[in-house]
Amino acid sequence: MRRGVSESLRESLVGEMTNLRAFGVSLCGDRERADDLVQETLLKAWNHLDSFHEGTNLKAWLFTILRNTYFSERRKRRREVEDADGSYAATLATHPEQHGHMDMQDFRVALTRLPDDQREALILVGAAGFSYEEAAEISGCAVGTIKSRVNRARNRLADILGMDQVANTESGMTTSA
Amino acid sequence: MGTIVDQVEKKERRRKLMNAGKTITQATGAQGGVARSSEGGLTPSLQAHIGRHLRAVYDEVAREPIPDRLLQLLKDLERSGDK
Repeated sequence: MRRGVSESLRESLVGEMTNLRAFGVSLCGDRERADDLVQETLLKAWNHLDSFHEGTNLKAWLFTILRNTYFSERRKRRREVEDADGSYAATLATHPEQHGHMDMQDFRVALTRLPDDQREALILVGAAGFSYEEAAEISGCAVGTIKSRVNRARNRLADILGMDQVANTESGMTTSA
Repeated sequence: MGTIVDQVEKKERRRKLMNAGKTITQATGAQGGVARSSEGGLTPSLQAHIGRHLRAVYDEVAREPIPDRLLQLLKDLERSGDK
């Protein structure tokens, strides 16, 4: 039953690759790793094209594969990653004081310090252009969960980025539940 | 002591104090500090600020050309798929 991939589907796949990369990089904060994720996503998608129904949301389908790949990998190397988070915190702490100015680099670092699920929700809704409903389907959780994750992500970002004003290092030491 | 006039004055003073607090919150919000509205959410201006930065980070990558190794992979997959 397996037929060759239609030209239009192939074009759509290529078209979504820039989005997939943007999602991957925003999610893991690292281009090399993001490209590995995209590569794995492509392979998995290709091998399961039969389960994709043309005409449905290809972008959401691909994003789902990428985030599942990312999260299962992340679970495997949690300890390693926690160490990395510690060094991110150190980088931020040595930054010169900037009153009320949110620098792009500060923002990138702050993003990496969000709990995974909150960062994912924020990117899906705030940057990738998905609705709360679509984001919930991609993440495999309830719509209300996505909404609260997005809210907590915003609050946390504001806390992290406002830290130099308050001169408070506490939030950098709190670990997520 | 305890006259109605006193109570009204007290109320007025408290109202002014609360308004002053609100103004400070809004001002820091505009600069990207930690500003919360009365419900405990972020002020709209700070939300918008975060949104702009988020999209900038995302779009920067989305505008980059697709790396060769990914394009190559796609070609390889197509070749293997047509057997």
